[in-house]
Amino acid sequence: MGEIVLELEGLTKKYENKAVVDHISLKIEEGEIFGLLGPNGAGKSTTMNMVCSLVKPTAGKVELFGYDAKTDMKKVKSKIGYIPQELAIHGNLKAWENVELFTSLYGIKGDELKKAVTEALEFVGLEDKRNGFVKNFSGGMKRRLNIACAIGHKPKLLIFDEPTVGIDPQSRNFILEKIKAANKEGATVIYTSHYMEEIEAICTRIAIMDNGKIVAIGTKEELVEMVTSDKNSNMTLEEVFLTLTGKKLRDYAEGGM
Amino acid sequence: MPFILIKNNLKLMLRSKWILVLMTILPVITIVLLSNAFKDMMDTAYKIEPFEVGYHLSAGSAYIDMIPQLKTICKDNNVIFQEYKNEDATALLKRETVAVFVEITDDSYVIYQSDDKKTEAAVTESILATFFYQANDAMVGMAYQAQNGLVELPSTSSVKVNHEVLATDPVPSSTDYYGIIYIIYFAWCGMISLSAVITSERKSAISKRMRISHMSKFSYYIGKLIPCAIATFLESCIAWIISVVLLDIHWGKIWACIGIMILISLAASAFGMVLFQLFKNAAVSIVAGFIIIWIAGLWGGSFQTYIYANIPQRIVNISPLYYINRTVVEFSTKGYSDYAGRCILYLVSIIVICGIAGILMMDREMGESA
Repeated sequence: MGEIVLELEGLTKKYENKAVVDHISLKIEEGEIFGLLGPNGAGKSTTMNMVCSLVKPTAGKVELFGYDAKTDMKKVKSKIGYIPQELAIHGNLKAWENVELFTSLYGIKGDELKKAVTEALEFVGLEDKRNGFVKNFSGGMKRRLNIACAIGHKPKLLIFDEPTVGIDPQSRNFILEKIKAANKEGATVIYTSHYMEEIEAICTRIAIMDNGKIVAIGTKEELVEMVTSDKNSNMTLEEVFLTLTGKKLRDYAEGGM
Repeated sequence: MPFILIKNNLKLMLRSKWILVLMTILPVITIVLLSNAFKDMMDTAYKIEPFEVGYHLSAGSAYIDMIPQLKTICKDNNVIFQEYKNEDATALLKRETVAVFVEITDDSYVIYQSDDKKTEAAVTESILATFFYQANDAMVGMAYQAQNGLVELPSTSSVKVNHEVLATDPVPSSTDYYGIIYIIYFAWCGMISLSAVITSERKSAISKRMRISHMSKFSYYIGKLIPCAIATFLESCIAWIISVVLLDIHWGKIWACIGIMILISLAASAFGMVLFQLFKNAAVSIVAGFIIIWIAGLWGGSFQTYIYANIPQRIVNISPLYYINRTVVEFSTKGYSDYAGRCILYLVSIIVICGIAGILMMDREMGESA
């Protein structure tokens, strides 16, 4: 068993007494690609925001690399690379300037910084566009640069919050390949999405979230076993997901119509 | 010091074309418009051209020998002192042959003035009062010495009085005045440069990325304050150079003015940081900032000259722009200013107070993080 990279214990977030994340507990080991799957509004992004200390939990505990995030977050910040759902890059800066800026925030300087910028841009296939202004980039290029800005400081834990929203299949495929490559190089990955095929393609373990709770957790095979006793079943992850979370439209379910 | 953050934020600020235009071209246009619009007002209000004072001396007046001295003193004060032996004072004034007329008798003088030449009459009165006070004093002293046998009574031509030039504050031309004032005024608007960074950060999830990094709140603050001050200073300098080259504006004590401009740039940036964090909305912050600067400018001499303000002095004294405007204009006209100390004190106070408030408010902005 590898080192525990992330441990959540009874993690809860309430807004006006409504729990958007409800007593979540899980452990993620070093070297995993952990998928957090759930419909819109399931609480995936809120959970990731709490893991990154961007949102204060109402209750529960987050432990990163053995440190309590509430008290020792500073010690583990440089080990985390967070790729938010929204683009977090300056349109009026060049590609290399963006990567340089966000990598420098982790105290990397001089030649080491220059090398890190080049490596990050090469990793996402944007080295030849390093002098281009981001405002002129396509959606897929911006998404790739968004990733480059989070990996310059070589984090051990990469948190992707729906990184493929609104991009073309080629860019999506490229990003998924790069996530697998980063994992092979030693990074632990947490990947949140509501795209089943993406999770199925890259994740070694999956947690399915619905209404703020984890309804199932395990490998794809383990999840299938949870919903059918047929050992020869070739259920897809989507079928498992729908079985576990129901087919009701989320806005109907939440709106009470 | 987060140099890379400062460098990249500065790039964002300087790459914003509309901010560059606002900060470099608009001041020059404003200077041209206002200096022309208020040229006549400035001239009639403050400038006294050389003028002529007519005089008539009574026969046998004791002052007859002193008239050449009086003429010299008048000349030093840009006044032509011209004798009219047989002319009527009222007629001379009505014809505007002379601005003021003086009837000098044996032991007194009478000044005739018209309603539209009160300033010239006041200047004449001041010169004559000083002259005759000294002359009488000298004559009394000599008479006393003669009475006591100390000296023989000398002739009145030996009476000497000090040659004094009236101490008045030199007045700038309208081009110099507005040329200086509007470089200062627009430097205060430099906080607008912050919008290039803050809008870009808020439009995307950059603040999330900042908060998850190692960067401290102080670095985050400095990373915006310093580039904003540098951008404001550079843009103000461009406007400054353009206005000096095109409009021939005269600044005095150039290094002191540069120092004041650096302080203004820092103060404007610190003030802007407070507003941007207070309102959380770039447009509202800019509008609020411009309104406050406009009011400070109205009280401090940006729209009518501080020398001729219709606003009560107590209110004028509240505006930091009053001290800054006055200091820099007096550097131009006199080469020094008694207001320089207060100007620097005001600016440093703004930087310190807004700086502390800005950092404390930065705490509030990041309060959601655990």
